[in-house]
Amino acid sequence: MGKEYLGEFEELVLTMVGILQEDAYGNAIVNEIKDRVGRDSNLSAVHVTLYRLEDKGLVKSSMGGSTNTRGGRRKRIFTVTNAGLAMLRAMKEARMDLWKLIPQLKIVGS
Amino acid sequence: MQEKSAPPRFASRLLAWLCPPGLFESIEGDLMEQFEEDSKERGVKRAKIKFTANVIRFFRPGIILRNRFSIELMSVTLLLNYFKISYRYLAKHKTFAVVNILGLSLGMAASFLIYEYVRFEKSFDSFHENASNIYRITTEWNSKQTQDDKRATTVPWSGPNVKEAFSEVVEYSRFASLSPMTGDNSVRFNNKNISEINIYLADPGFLKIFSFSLLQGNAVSALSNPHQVIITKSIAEKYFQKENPVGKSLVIDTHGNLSGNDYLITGVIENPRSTSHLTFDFLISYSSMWEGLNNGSTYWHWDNTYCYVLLHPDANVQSLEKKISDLRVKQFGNEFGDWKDEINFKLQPLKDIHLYSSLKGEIAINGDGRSVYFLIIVGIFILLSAYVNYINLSTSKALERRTEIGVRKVVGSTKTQLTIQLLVESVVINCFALILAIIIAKVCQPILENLFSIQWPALTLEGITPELLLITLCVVITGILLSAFYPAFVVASFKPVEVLKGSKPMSIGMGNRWTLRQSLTVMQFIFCIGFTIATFALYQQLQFMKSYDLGMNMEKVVAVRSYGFQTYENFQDFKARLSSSSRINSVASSSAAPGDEINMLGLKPKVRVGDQTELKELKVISVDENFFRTLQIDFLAGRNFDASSKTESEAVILNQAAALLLGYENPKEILKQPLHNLTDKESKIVGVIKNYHQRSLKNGYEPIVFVPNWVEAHNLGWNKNYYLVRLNPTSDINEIHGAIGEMEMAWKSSSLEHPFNYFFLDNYFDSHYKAETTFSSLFLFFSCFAIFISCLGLFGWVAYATLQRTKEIGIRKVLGASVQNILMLLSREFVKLVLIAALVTIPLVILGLQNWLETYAFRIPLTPWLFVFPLLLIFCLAIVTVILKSLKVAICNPVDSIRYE
Repeated sequence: MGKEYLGEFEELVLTMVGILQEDAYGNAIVNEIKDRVGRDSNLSAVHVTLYRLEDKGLVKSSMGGSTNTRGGRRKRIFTVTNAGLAMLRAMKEARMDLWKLIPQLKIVGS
Repeated sequence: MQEKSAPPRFASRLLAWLCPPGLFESIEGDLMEQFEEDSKERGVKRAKIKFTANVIRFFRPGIILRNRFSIELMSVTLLLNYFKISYRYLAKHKTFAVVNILGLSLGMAASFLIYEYVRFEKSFDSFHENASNIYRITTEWNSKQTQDDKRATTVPWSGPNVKEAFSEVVEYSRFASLSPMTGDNSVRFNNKNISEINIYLADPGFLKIFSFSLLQGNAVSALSNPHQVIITKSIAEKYFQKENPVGKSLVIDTHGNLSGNDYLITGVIENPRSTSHLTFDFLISYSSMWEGLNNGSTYWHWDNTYCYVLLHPDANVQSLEKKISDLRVKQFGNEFGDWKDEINFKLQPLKDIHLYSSLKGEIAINGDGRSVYFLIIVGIFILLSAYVNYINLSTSKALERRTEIGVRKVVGSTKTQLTIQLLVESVVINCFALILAIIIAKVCQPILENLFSIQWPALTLEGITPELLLITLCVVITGILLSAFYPAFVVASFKPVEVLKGSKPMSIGMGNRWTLRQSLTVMQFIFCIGFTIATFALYQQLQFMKSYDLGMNMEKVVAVRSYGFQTYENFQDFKARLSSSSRINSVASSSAAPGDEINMLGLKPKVRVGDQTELKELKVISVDENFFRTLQIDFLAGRNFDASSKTESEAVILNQAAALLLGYENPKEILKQPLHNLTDKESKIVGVIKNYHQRSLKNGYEPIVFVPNWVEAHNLGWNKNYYLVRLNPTSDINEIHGAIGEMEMAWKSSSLEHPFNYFFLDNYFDSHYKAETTFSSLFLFFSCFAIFISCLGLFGWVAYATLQRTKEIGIRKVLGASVQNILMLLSREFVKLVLIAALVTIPLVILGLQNWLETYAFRIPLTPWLFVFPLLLIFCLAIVTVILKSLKVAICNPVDSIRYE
């Protein structure tokens, strides 16, 4: 634990996969990032990141059922693995620990 | 509506191509989803653009790299399989493999060798940085007697004056050999004679125009003052060893022709490269020359200097030529007085000199652009015919593999896979051939050099130019594609079911149909026959020239190089010492050995006879009274010189061509006629000799006047001289060696320290046929290649054709056909092709030969023999090849052959 590091965008995508649960596929993640963070991301960048996360074992993917939209093409649904969840949690805790170390006085004083 | 709203097709295809197949579906789906949204929100057009842009964004390593890795893994196994199959196939069909690889590699090796040679010949003088802007000023003299007398040399005037007058001329340098002007020179350092005496005069511009680098000394001042000399590196190493030569002084003895003999060494220059047409041992400053010749204000007939100019890159060469000619007329229109000569100046590009220039008075015998061009054609044809064989064989082999291919197709092989299989085999064969070719070329190069004693540039690492690599790559790839795709095309059309059932074997051009293969073979033989006839004719002409009656006898005549500073007394002493020898018949001296271009101190006397007014130009050779006897030249009229007579000083002897030029057909009538203008006094013609060939048979007879060399008026003792010694006609090798030993002894005691240099006159004369000898050997060598390759092709084809007809032959034999019948049947087809080739070739060859033979003043007639012999040779070879291969099938037991398959 802790040997692998995640980039900022990787962390964001991983979090989105966790949020979206059964509906986490490329396009949905792009939209979710737009809605929640207000940030424009590129589909290809999201895809590449997802595959990288999959290589690291933080997410796994499976093909969903076919639909009438999107020209009948199936979706690749991503789900967070236990390792992925642990990673997210570890990162969040590490950040919280660091946050506590910032002197709070400054806020009061200003 | 539905169609319109679909995303652009090509973008999807692009995506399919770049995406790993596993990921493609979901990615495309996501893109489509975006597209659908976009087309609703912003319209189909914008959506399409965005779709394409998004596809292009997928060109990132994160996607593509995943992709390539998986594909590579897949093809590596397949490729290995292809190689394995290729190896098995070649190992099984050994004849096929050997014929193919050997033929190809021979063709490639021949073209490698030719390429290297051609590159060497073409690289002459291109190492100069300014090579493309350097020109040589040459002259065309139009006098009354001779029009268009084209000379490589020019008058000294054309250097400094041309530079001064025209801004296009950046720099000039004249370049003149010292000896035609001052006679033979000797060079001494510390009282030691230096045997290299290749001395040239050059202007300071020489070092600026040419890229010969000055290793020591100052390039600006090294040639700017009189009596300065630059020596080459090899001279410096040989005579100065570790000393620094610069600043030392050399003695160049010019017999008082130039004031002062001491020359200051101002520089050491790199040795002229082997690809330079300029060669020299010493360069002395042109200003050492006397004033009139140096500034070029006079001496219009002293045209023994070469002149090089560096032009501005955008100078107009044609108009400059004309401007120079006009300038001379403007400055010195009437200078010529009696001669009424007109000089047209020409500018010759430096790079053209070695291959395309054969003017009078070239510095050295140049290469022959025509032969080089011819060699290129030969190389191309040899390579082509090697590939023709290869393609022929692989196509027929591919046809033979129809069962194998049928099975492959049934098992599920695609057309692409079949093509790749053939391609891989092709690559394997070509690579083998290429490696073998390099080895053959490496092995052949020293053999060529030794066998024909010519310099052949080695195929070294630095010889592998990008150009060579590119050509090789192009040729090999074209060959691979041609040999793989044509069969692939044929093979792809097989219907597996029919093939496997074994019905209707494909014809392989044995019927009456005129196939591509037949035309290719005919072409191959056209070339082969033409080549052989040309080689044969070249050889015949060479033999003809070597055995021609030259009007004199040079057999067992030894010429000893004498030096200008040896006096007539030296010679008399030398002669006296040899007179007692039983091995030696006679000793003579002459200013020109047969084979030399006559050029005595640049003298070109224009004489007239009797009351004639018109002047005629003759060449002069000074000889002693033994000259004609020693060379066994016959007299037509009159008598020889008489050394004992005191009144001989005005006597001259003409050759027949000179008598004819002066207007006397009957040589007897010209005798006793006064000859004016040769010297201050009137000369008396005492004899006329039969024409003999002073120069090679490429030239006609020249008009020559012979003057006695011991007479005061012709005291040109310091001119280049030869002592000609006729040995006993019956002497064998040992006696010849003995005689030469005696001569060396005599030489040593009569003229001490000078080196003893001798050569056999007939060898020396034949060296003029060096170009012909070289090329006939080369053509002989490469025609062997060509014939061998053609026969190899024939062999392969016959091997295949007979194999195809094994069963047929068996049945024919059972029905009573004899071995001869079978052989006839098998060879008829091939003989027919060779015959057709012969019929096409002969008229072409006749035309070519006629053209070529016209360049010789004395030549062989075009007899049928010239064609019959080479034709017979090729026929025999072709028939032997065919029979060799088919005999085995023809004599074998029909039981075996019917059982075949």
